[in-house]
Amino acid sequence: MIINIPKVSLVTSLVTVSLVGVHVNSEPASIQETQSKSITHSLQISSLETKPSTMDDGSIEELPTLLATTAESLAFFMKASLGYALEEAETWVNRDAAEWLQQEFVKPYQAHVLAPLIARDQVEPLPTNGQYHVPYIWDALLKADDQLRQRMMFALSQILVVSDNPMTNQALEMGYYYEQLSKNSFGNYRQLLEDVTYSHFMARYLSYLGNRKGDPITGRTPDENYAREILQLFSIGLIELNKDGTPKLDSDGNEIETYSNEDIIGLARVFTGLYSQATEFAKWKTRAEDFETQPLKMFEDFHSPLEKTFLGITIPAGTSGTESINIALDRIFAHPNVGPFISRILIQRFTATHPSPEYVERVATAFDLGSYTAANGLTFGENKRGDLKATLAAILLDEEVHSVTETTTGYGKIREPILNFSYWVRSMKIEMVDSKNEHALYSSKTSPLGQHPFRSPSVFNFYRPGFIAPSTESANLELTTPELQLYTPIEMFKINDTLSTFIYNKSSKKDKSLETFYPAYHDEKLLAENPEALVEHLNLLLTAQRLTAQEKTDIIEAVSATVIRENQRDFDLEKRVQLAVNLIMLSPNYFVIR
Amino acid sequence: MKKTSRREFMGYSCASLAATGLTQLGLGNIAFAETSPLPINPYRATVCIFFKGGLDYLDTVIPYDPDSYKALRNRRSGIFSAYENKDASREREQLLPLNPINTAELEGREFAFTQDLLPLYEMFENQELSILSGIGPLIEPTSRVTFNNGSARTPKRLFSHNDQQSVWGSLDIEGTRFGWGGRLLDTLVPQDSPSAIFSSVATKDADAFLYGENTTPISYNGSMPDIPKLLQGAFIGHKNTQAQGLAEQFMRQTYSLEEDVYQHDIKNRLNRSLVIQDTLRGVLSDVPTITTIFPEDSLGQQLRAILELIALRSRIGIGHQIFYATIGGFDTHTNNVNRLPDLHQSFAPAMQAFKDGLKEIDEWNNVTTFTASDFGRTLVENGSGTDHAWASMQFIMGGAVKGKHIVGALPSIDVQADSFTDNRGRWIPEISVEQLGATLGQWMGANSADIEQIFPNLINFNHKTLDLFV
Repeated sequence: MIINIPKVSLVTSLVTVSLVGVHVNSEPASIQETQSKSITHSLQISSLETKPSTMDDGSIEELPTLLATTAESLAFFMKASLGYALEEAETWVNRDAAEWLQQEFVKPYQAHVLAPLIARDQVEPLPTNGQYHVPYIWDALLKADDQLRQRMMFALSQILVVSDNPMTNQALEMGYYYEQLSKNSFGNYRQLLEDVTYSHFMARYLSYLGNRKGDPITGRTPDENYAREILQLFSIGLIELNKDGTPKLDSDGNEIETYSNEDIIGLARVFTGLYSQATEFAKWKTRAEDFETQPLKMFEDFHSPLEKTFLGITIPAGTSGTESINIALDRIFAHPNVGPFISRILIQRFTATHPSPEYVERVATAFDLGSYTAANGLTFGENKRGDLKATLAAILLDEEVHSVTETTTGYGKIREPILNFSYWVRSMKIEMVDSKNEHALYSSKTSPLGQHPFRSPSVFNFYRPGFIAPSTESANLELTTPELQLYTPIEMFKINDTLSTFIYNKSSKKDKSLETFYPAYHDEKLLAENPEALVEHLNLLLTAQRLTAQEKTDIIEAVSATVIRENQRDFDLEKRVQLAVNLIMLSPNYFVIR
Repeated sequence: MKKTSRREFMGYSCASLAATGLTQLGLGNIAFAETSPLPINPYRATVCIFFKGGLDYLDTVIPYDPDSYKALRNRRSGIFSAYENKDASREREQLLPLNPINTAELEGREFAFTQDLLPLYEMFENQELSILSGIGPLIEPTSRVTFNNGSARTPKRLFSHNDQQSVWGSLDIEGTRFGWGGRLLDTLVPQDSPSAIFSSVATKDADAFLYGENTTPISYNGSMPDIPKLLQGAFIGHKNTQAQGLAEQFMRQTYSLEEDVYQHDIKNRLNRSLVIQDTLRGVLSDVPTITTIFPEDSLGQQLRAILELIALRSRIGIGHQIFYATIGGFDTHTNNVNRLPDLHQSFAPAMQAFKDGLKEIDEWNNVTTFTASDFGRTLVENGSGTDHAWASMQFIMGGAVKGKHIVGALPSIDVQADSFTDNRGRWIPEISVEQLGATLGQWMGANSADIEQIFPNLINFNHKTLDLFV
C-alpha cells in the first residue's frame, strides 16, 4: 500500500520552500507523471521503515533530511562521502543526515600526507624529483576515516588548483599544500585563501615565488599571473553575480565584468616580495632546510612600494607587503560574488551537476551568514562569513537534495572518475588498500583512471564549472556538465578498462608478491548463486536502486550465462560478481547520482 | 526540438549494432566492408595546432633589424640576460634571419627565428610556410583609443585563458557549443554519408572548435583501439561466449530520454565510443606504410595520427576533414630562458615531420595547417617571463599556401604605440581570426553565404579574406 505523504521541509524561513508546489500546476503532464512516479518510488521504500515525527498540529510529517531507508542513506553517502559499505550505511537508517555531518565535523584533523612524508624525509631525505606525495593522497581518499573532510579537501583542490604535472621537486611542498586544504576544509574560506597564498607550491605553480616589484628604469612590471587567477578562479570570477549565481546584467542586458586590466596591474603589485623562507630574496642556496613545509616569507625590499589600486580600493604607497596582502585578501573576500561563485562550484562537486539558482542562493546565504540551521534544528557554523561548515551543511542538507524536486538539481550529480573509483573501493570493502603498489595510481604524470588528484592539466581544473557539452540533450536544456569534459567517447572506455583491471583483480602491481586492492566480494559471492539476488544487492549498494527494470533484466541474464561448475564453484561465482559489478558501473544510472 | 541528421545517423547505427551483438566485435567494418568508395577529389583538409597558454610571439619570431632588436632587448632585459648567461641563443648573431618574399612591404623591418625553430626556418625559406602577424579575435577594427574609451566593440573576457581559447575556436566565450571548424564541416560534408564520422577529428582535446550543429568530433590518438577489457577472455572468462555476447549487448543498449537527461547523454557517449572504436578498427586494419619518422613527443604523435587518417581518406571516402591537435605549457609567466626553447622543440620538428609525411603520401597540396594560441603575451617582461595579452604571430603551412610571406601587420616595440592597449604592450589584433577562418573555409570550398553566416563579424572588415593561398 502506498501512503501519499510528501516530504515537507520545516525550514519555512527560507525563500524557496514552496518551489515544488508552485511549479506543479504549470508543468506539462509528462513531468507531473515523472514526479509522481518518483514520489511513489521513494515512498514504496520508505513505507517499510519510515520513522515519522509528530508536528505541532498533530499531523505526521517526516523530516526531509531523515535517512528513512537504506537506499536513501546510500544515496546520501554517494553525495556526501567517498563511499560507504552497506552495513555502515544501514547504521544511519532512520537517523538524520545532519547528525552525520555533526559527527564528521568533530573528527579531529589528521595530517594524512605531510606527517608520513616528513617522517620518511627525516629517516632518509626524499629525492627531490619524486612524486612521493601521491600514494598518501590516494590512501587518504580511499580509506581515511574522516570522509567528509577528505571529500571537501578534494572539492577544494578543484577550486584552488595546483597540479603535480608538469611541476617537479614537489613531494613535501605538495604535502604541505594538501594539508592547507585539509586543515581548512571545515574552517573559513578567508583563512584558506591566505594559507594558499602563502603556500610554496602555489607560489611556484602560479609563478609569484620571487616576483619582484617593478623597475621604472627597464619598465619591468610585476608578474600578473596570481593577481588574475586569484580573482578569476579562486574568489569572484569574471562577471558580477546575483546571490543565486546567475549573472547580473546592466541596463542594456549585458553581463558586467568584475575587473579590468587596470585592476590586474594594481593587484599584481600586491603579490611581490614573496619568496621561500631564506636569508636572501630569490637566492635558492640561502633557503632554510624546511622551506617546503613553511609559509612563504615576505622580503619587504622587493615588495612594490607603489600605490595599489584594484576593485575600487587603493592601498597607499609605502604599505608593507604583509599588510598589503592582508588588505587585498580582505577586499577580494568582501566581494559579494564570493558566496555564489564558490557555492555553485562546491555544489557541483557534491550533489548537483547543474544546481538550481534557488539552491545556490540558499548555500550562498549560509556562506555569507556563516551559519545554517538544519531541518532537525541542528545548527552549523560560527556565524562568520565564509564558514565552510555552514556552507557544507547547506549543500548536503538542502531540501532539493533530500526531496523530489523539479528543478535542475533533480537531474543529479555525475560522478567524477575519482569518486567513481573511491566508491567502488569503499562500498565493496576492498582489502589491502595500499596505493603505492598500484601502477594505475602511482605512476608519474599520467591519469589512468581519467582523473588524478592534484593532476589537472592546468589551473583551470579537469573541467570548467560552466562547461556545456556540445551535441547533448543537456546542452539543449542549457545544463552545465563539467564532468562530461572528462567523459569523452574515447576516454570513457579507457577509464573503464582501468576500472575493469581493479574489478577483476588484475591491476598492475609494483610488487607482484603483494596482493593489494584485493576485492574479496565476500557478501556478493554468497548471493551469486542467485543472479537476481546478486543484482538486487548491487543495485542497492552501487546505485541506491536506480537501475531500470530493463537494465536489471539484462544484467541478470548476462550474469546467469556463467554456469556454476561444481569443481570450479568459487571461480565461477567470482566471475558472476565481477561481471555484475562492472556492468552496473557502466550503467548511466551508476554514473548519475540522484 | 530540432534534431540533427548526424545524431539520427548515430542513433540508427547504435541500434543496428545492438541488434547484431557479438558479431561486430573486432570486425567493425560497419561502413567499409562491402564497398570501397572512390577517392573524392578535390580533397581538402585543415589542421589546427593549438598552443595552449598563450604563445610569446616576441621570443619566437624575433624582431631582427638592429633598431627593433635593440628596443626589444631594452624591454626584456631580464629575459635577454638570462639567455646570455645560459647559451647566448638570443644574441642577434645566433638568430636565423628570414628573407620574406614580401620584404618590400615590411618597411625595413626584419624578423628572425630562434635556432630551435630551424625546421620552420627551412620551411619558410623553402616557401612552404608563412607567418600570420597581428592575428587575434576581433569584432571590428580597434585602436588604443577606441579600446580605452570603450567605443570599439571587443571580444568578451579578453586576457582570460579559457575564454580566449574558446573565442579562437568558436568566436565566443567558454560555454559556446559550436566552433567554426565544425560549422564549416556542417556545410561541406554530406550528413548522410557514413564516412562523415571521420570529418572532425581531435587528437587530444575535443574543444568546441570541432563541433557543428551536425558535426561531432571523434578522438583518435594513433593507437588502434582494443575491444573493452571487460569483454576479453582473460576478464569475462575464456570460452564464456554467451556471457560475452550478452554483456556486449547490454553495453550497446540505447537509453530512452524521458527525464534522465544526463543518463541519456552518458549512454549516448558510451555507445558512440563503441561505434567509433569498431569503425577505427575497421579502417585502421590496413594503414598504408608511412616511412617518415615523427618525434616521439606529444605533437609528433598527434600529427602522425592525423597523417594516418589522411592516408586512409580514399578508403574512408571523405572529401573534407578538419583536425585539431593541442599542446600545452605556453603560459610563460616565468623562466622563458628554459621554457621557450623546449616549447619550440615541442612543435617545430613535429610540424616538419608532418610536412614530410604529407609529401610522402602526396597530400601536401591538399592540407593546410595553421597554429593558434589563447593570445599573445606582453611586450614588457615581468622579470623572467611575460603576461597575458591579445594579438600574436602564428604559422600557416601547406602546398597550397603562398609561402615565405609575413601576412598582416608588424609588431611594434614602442609601448606608446597605437597598436597596444596599454604600456605593457598588449597588442591589439590587426587581422581577425574570422578573416583566417573565412579564407580557410573558402579554400576548402564553402560558399560565401555560408561563410558569412559562420563568421558574423566579417562584415566589419574591408577584406573578408586574407591573401594566403597561391
